[in-house]
Amino acid sequence: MESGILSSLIILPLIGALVILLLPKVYKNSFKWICLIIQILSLISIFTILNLFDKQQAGYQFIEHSEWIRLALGAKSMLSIDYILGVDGLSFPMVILSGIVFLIASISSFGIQKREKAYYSLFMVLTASVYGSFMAVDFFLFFIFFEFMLLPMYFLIGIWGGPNRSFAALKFFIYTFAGSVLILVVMICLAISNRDEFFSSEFARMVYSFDFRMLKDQSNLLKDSIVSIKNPNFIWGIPAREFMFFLLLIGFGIKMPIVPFHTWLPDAHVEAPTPVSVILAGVLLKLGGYGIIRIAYQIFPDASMKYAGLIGILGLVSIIYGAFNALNQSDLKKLIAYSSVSHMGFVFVGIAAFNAVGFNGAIFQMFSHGILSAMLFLIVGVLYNRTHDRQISSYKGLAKKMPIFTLLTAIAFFGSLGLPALSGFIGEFLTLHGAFQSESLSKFIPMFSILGIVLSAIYFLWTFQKMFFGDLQNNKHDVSMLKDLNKSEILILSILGLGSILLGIFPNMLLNLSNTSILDILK
Amino acid sequence: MMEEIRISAANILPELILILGVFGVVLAVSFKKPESKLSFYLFALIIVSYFFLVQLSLGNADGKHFFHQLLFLDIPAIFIKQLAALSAMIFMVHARIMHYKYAGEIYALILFILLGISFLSMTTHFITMYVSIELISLSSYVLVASDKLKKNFEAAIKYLIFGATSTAIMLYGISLFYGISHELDFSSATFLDSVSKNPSLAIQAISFMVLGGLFFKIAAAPFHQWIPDVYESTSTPIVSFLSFAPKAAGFLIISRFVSADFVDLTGTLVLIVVLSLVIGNFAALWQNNFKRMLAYSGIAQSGFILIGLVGTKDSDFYGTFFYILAYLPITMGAFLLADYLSLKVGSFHIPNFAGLGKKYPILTINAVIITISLIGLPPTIGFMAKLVVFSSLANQAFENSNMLLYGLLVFGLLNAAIAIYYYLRPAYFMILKEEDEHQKSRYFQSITLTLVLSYFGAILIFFFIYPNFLSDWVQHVVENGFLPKVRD
Repeated sequence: MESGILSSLIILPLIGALVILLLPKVYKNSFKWICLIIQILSLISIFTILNLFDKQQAGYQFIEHSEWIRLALGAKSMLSIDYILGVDGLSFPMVILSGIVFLIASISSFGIQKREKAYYSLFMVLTASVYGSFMAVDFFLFFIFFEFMLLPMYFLIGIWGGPNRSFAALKFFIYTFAGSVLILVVMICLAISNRDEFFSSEFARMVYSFDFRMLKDQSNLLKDSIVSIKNPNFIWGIPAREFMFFLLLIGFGIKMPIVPFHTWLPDAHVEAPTPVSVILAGVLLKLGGYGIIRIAYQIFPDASMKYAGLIGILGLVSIIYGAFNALNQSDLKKLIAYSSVSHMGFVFVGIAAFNAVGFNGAIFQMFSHGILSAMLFLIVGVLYNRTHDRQISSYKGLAKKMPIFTLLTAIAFFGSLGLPALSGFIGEFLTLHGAFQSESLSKFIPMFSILGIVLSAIYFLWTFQKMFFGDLQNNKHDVSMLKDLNKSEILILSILGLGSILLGIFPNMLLNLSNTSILDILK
Repeated sequence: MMEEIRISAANILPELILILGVFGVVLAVSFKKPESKLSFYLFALIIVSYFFLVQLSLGNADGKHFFHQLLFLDIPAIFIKQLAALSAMIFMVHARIMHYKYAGEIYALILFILLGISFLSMTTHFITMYVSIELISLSSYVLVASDKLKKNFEAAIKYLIFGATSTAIMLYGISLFYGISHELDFSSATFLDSVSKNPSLAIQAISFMVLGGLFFKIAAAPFHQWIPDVYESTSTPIVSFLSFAPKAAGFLIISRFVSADFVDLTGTLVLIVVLSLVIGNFAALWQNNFKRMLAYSGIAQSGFILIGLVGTKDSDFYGTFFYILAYLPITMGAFLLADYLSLKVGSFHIPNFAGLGKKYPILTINAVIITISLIGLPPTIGFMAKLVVFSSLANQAFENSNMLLYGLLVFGLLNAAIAIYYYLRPAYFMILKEEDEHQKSRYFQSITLTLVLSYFGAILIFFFIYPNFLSDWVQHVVENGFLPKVRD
């Protein structure tokens, strides 16, 4: 089916950005509506695709393929890069997640008061890049969108953020760019190792291609290439394939983030404005997980099986370390940032398990974490908008004054810590189930991860009790400032809350999508 | 003898036009009032006709020798000459739209530099190389001093002294080579033969000396000390021309030298690359003057281009030449941007750019595009250029199983990441900072300047989306190698 529906997801926001840039400033009230309309249209397209998506088919669907670059590298070889978009069971849940989170974030952006033109155009460019990286089937295209996302994020954090925003934005940019540089090294080495059979005969020379479908098929590897299996090469004593795998692990691990590459996250989250935090936690972190499954696992399955234990340990360390750090925080936003680190650790454990349950659990956890952390950051945003204070100790007894807020916060907190009937439980349960069943992981890893669940219960419940129960008069701020939620806040929080409950009760809605592709990957 | 001269002279018709142009400009300067623009228009005419004559000069042949091996015209030479002519045209546009009033002699000097570049790109003979380098250098020294301010004289003297030292070292190396081989053409069979009979370490040392003069011209460390002062004090259109054209010619002749392959120069080149990257990047981190920062970044960029020359077995330097081609709009666009910004705020001091983002959105967008192509981020041709250079390095590293080259690959990429900090600073100040009330910036809209700057920005992005034209051109250039095929 050669419809352009996937390209429309990328092009529509870009057109929106152009329109916003061209409209004179007098229309600034309409910018947010343009943004909102485009997000709604994107979500409608995504639901259309959802209806047409064939759950039984493992490969890419809705593929759009057009020729783009044929770069001759000297007389004997050629680099072929095509514009290929497609969705399969791995990327489609992420696309759905992006659709939902961007819509929520754009509603939440209605509070932005200064320089709306720049804000909304950057927002639209960010939307396009994220959709592009999830839908790209060509490694080069994926990399371009992946890198290009950094620039709007840098400006979004740097202009509309908190007091220390320039430092946080620069740290985010340089740290993630260093990670992408490592991915670039692997991309180049992969490209020159794989020979595209079809084009090579057509152009009568060695054609290197970046197509994912070709890269994961190991019969395309050149015999003497850097990453060949039959003739292993060694770089500084480590086999080349494993070296590449480690580079990918570090590069995507910075994005996820995984301890010890997580230090940019608390800074970036604390300084970013609320909608940007929502996008960062809800969508951008998932790119790391998606990248690892898509690239590291599909292209280097041998190395990933060998190091599954290491990945499991890294996941475990993230869970525990993130949780302990969260326990210690007095700033609510930083607490939620560290809980993000902790929950993404579950994704890592699920990936390390190397069975269908674990992978499905990892994807589910990514989706549910996206929704729940979006909710959590919105909650912080609600409080921050009222009183500009993020310290937990400043709030007491909020339940009396803001009952609806309390209800929605309860859903978010309980979902994150893994209460059954909410989506967090399914995610954590599936990943740990897979980890217990797995042959490549020792049983200690899931056992200690359960400790992480207990810890998250501790910090979330403790915070909940401190902030919402107790004497209302002990608040640091004037009680009249703490109004209950207004309509738009209720809307966005309840959409997310409903999503979490739905997924918790009917997890098959998501699992059906990803299952077939996962089984195919595992073969 | 006269036959030879007559036939050869027909082949260097473009250069003859340049020489006539010099005479014409000097006459125009002598006999007309200083305000007359005749020299400018004459200059423009000469450059354009030079460009087209160069395109036609090779005819059907693959490479032609003339003047008894002193000159050798082939497709890479034509490529570099065309690029130099293009950069002279951009220099003209830049000077015109920013209303620089240059004395006529400046144009004559630029023509001399072009003449030097033409001969430098056409030769494999040491003497021609030396004479061309001196022609370029001497004209550059005078150009640098042309504003007649104290800082110009200081920069020009520094340039002169460093240049004289580097060429002295180069001459010493050439004389040693002559002593070994009694032959001044480094592509001839006798030269290669006699050189190969000597210990390779000695030949490497002599090559380093000879290359020293060339590294001086292309702004590679450790011969880079003149660059920051010269770039900072000279007037911007001249700097923008000097930051590209002599470098392009220098790279071509270094490619010829390296492809002669009489000794393994990988170690030397890796050393130079590492030094250039480290010195260029780490010095640029501290700079507050935009032009000085661009100067140090130019040193780092030369390092990146040199990476494409590392490892010669069966390599065709595609990466280097693609990067040179991409470097033309990038660097000249960057200097145009610098000039435009200095017009708005009155100086090149980067923190003074604060707050420009709000008032001049199109300027800011172009600044961001030019900055990210300097960094090497998609979607600009800076990214394609870095990709091609690093791909060829990865290929070389693998084929020679050379651990050093793998290390260079990772080192080079990490340097690209470090460079983000200083490249982003102007854009950071323009967009993220509010304007200081104490500084005054003149508010004016100049359509022409914005249009030309946007043209650069558009080119940088357009050729990322459709690079086939550029890649085919470079492919055509590097196909046949850099040395004469038929030896006599």
